[in-house]
Amino acid sequence: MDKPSLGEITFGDKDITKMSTDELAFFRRKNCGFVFQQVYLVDSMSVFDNVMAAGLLTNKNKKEVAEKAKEILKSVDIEESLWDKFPTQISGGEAQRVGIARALINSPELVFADEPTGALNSKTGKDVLDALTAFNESGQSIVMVTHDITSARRGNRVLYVKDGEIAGECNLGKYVHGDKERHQKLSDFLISMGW
Amino acid sequence: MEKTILLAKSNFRKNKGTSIGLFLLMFMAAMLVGVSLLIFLDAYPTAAKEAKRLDAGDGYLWIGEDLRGIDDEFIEDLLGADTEKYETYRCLGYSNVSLPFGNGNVAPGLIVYDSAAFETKMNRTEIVKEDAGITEGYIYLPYQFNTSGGYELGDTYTFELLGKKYSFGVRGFINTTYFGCNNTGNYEFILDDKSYDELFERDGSVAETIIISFKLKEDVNPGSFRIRVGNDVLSRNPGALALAALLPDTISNKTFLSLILAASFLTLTIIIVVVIALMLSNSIANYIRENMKTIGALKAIGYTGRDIIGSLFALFITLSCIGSLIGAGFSYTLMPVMTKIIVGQMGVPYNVSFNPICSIIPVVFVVFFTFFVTLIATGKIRRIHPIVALREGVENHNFKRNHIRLDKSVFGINISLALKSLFTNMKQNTITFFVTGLLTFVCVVALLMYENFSRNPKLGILTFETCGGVVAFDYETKEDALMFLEARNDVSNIRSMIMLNLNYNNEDRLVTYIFDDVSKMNNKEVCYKGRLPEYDNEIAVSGRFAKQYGYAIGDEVKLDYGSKKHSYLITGLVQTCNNSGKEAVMSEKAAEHLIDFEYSPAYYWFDCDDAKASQKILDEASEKYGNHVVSAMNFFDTLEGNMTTFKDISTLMLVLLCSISAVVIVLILYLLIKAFIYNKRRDYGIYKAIGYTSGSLVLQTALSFMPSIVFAAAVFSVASYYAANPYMSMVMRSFGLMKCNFDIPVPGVIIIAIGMVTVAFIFALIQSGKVRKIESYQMLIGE
Repeated sequence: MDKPSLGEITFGDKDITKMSTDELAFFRRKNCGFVFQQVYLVDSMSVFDNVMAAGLLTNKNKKEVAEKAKEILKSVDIEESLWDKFPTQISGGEAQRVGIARALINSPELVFADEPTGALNSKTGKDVLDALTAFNESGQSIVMVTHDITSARRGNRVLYVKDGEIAGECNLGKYVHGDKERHQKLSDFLISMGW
Repeated sequence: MEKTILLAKSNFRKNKGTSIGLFLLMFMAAMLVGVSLLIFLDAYPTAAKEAKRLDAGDGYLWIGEDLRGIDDEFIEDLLGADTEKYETYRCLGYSNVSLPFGNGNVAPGLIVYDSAAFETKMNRTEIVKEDAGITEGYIYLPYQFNTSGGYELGDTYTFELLGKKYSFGVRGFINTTYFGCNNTGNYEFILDDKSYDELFERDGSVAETIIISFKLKEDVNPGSFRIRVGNDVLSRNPGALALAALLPDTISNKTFLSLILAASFLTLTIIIVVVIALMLSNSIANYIRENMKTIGALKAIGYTGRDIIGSLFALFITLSCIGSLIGAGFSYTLMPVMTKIIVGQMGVPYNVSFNPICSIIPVVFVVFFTFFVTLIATGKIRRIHPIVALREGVENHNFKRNHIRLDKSVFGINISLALKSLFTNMKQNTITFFVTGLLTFVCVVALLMYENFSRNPKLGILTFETCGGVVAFDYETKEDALMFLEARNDVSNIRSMIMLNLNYNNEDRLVTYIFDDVSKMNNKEVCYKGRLPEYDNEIAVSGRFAKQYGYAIGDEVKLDYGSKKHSYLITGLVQTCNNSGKEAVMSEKAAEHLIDFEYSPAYYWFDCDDAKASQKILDEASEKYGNHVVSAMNFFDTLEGNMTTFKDISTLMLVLLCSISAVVIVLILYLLIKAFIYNKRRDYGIYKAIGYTSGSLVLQTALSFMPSIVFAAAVFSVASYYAANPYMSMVMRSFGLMKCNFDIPVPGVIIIAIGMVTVAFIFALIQSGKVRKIESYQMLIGE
């Protein structure tokens, strides 16, 4: 979304720093999904259309996109009765799960999640994390940025970024619900990083 | 106060584009109101003001053809009792002459003076422009020959009088009240004394004329006076020609066509001003909505609602004051162009000068309107809670319906999203719809005027009867001449028609067109209600006359001519904007109740192919009948001459009104799209983040405004096609035209509609290009 002032970013074998704004847009729609802290659904669109609007960017077949949107919305636990509602008519957790569905509709290679639970309470935050975990377990790569240890605990590989540089790395392995050792390992790593 | 100014300055800096857009709207509104006021309150009354300045009195009396018995003593008896003062002048007078003017000829009456004309005390003649270097063989022409006729100082003016051609160098142009405008039916020429004497020597016996300017006593009824003096002169000498004209009629004749155009311009201006006002109120409301966050922040740090409202008032009132002052000032610079509409036709010199009323009203109008709109729009600010304002005054969206479901839409994604924007942006689109629609109407009316006054003049509106040419013969040859015309293959539909001033109730004059056979009239459309007269007891009178004196179809009206009176049954109402809208039509048989035509000349109106054919017929008639030809008029050339001014004016109006409409629509789209993009910047960020390109978003934005514009252009062009004539009828009713049936070229309407849509789309695309500047990253790091 932003152009680096220094260095380069490669995705696969592509140097995306040299791409034009429109090339980046094409690149994003095919390869990336985004989940934002503030959700950022389009208020004037229904839940279903928010997902469709992203899906139709890569697939012109409305029927196929609609089928996939239904499937993904069901998989993030958004009931069918909510599909025609508008973002302001559903809860924050529900909206964020719609945001996840939108991020996943084009089957991106990578989903970027920026503090996905930052604007949510603990109950709805957990639902969102469960949804992300489920997709990750099914093979979806996710890069999540967070200050929240509960969220970080869901990661398989945790990178600690300090002042713009990677200060350390911690491999937690596959997420297992209620694994106390995993929690301890992450806590120790964070303490060692001075957190 | 200081903090208010500080806030106002900050508001301006933050919203420069919108502020400038609003400023331009205010500027245009003030300028258009200013121009319209200047036309009506400053330029239009010029004819009346000039008449007063030149001491034109209340009218003039033209006595000619046979002056036997008309001496000073008779004139004193005739006028002395009813007038405060009068002034008599002897000159040469010609009833119908063909004078080169513009691209054709005009056929007015003509009086010719010598240089003593400049020394009259009443009804003065003044020089407007002069080349004193021309010292002999010169002529002074009415100023209209310069403003509309295409003549300049030093040109040679050639014309024909009683079969002889004369050429003079144009030494000057004159301002004269009664004889300076073609619409009044008479022109005045002033020759150098030597040329005048030579002309008098030649034509004096048949053309010597007495012109008397008079000022009536207060208790004298001008209409009755006019009728009495005409009758008294005829009683004294039945062979004399006596024409009395009153100043109000002269002013009305001088100005009515200009007034039609000016009134049309004014009403169209009003529509544009309404559009601007509508947009202004919407823009100010938008402006405040856009700045809700700032309002919240200011309230949070301790500013009161009054402080914030004060700063908004300071900004908008300052903008409106400056915009309207400059607009009102600018209206003066536009006036020389606009003056053509009024002055070119009147032939009266006019220089725009500062007019306090025309300068103050536009400023007061714009400032008060802005004040009123700001007052309403800022009402909420006082009540709004800082936190709510910080959330940008979020009113929860109330989406009752999902109009375009993306999975069900038959359109592509860009059009579907554009349609979604359309439905969620209904208020702005409704404004766009009406703005585009009203401007389409303005352009269609301008097109109507261009088509009917310039490209393809609607003759039936401008003249009572149309033809190819008119040739008049004296009573000795009229029977033979009719046979001559009837025998020709290049002449058709010959009818005899003579105009006569009949008197009504000793108070008014009814100019009556008397046909040998009314059914031969070309311009039957002149009768807009009832039917044209057929029998010898029937008449059709003008709607304006009927309205003024309370007559309706089926009533009887008593008219008189000289000492004879007769009552006629009104069979229909005719429309006319000539002769103050007081005209009538009847058959010759009907007129014979009042006048014996045996010794009158016959005016034969005929149809023919074109100007060339008409001229050939007239030339051959003159050649065959010589001095027995009383008058000859090539209608095609005369029309061309008469239309010269209107062609320029209506073309100018079309260009001007279409340009103003284009500017207004561009300004309005600028403000609407700017506000739209601002309000939707978050959505654009989201779209970009998920992979929409700038190009597709620009297209979506521009397209979202197009349905209402396309719909408005289509609906209003069809509606305007049908509504333009009723609208013109409404505007022109007061001029005597009750039912307009102007031609409206369909291709022109289509071009206007397509042009409107194209201009709007191109500008919408350009303005929507601002979407490119929105970056989704900015959305992430906080707005």
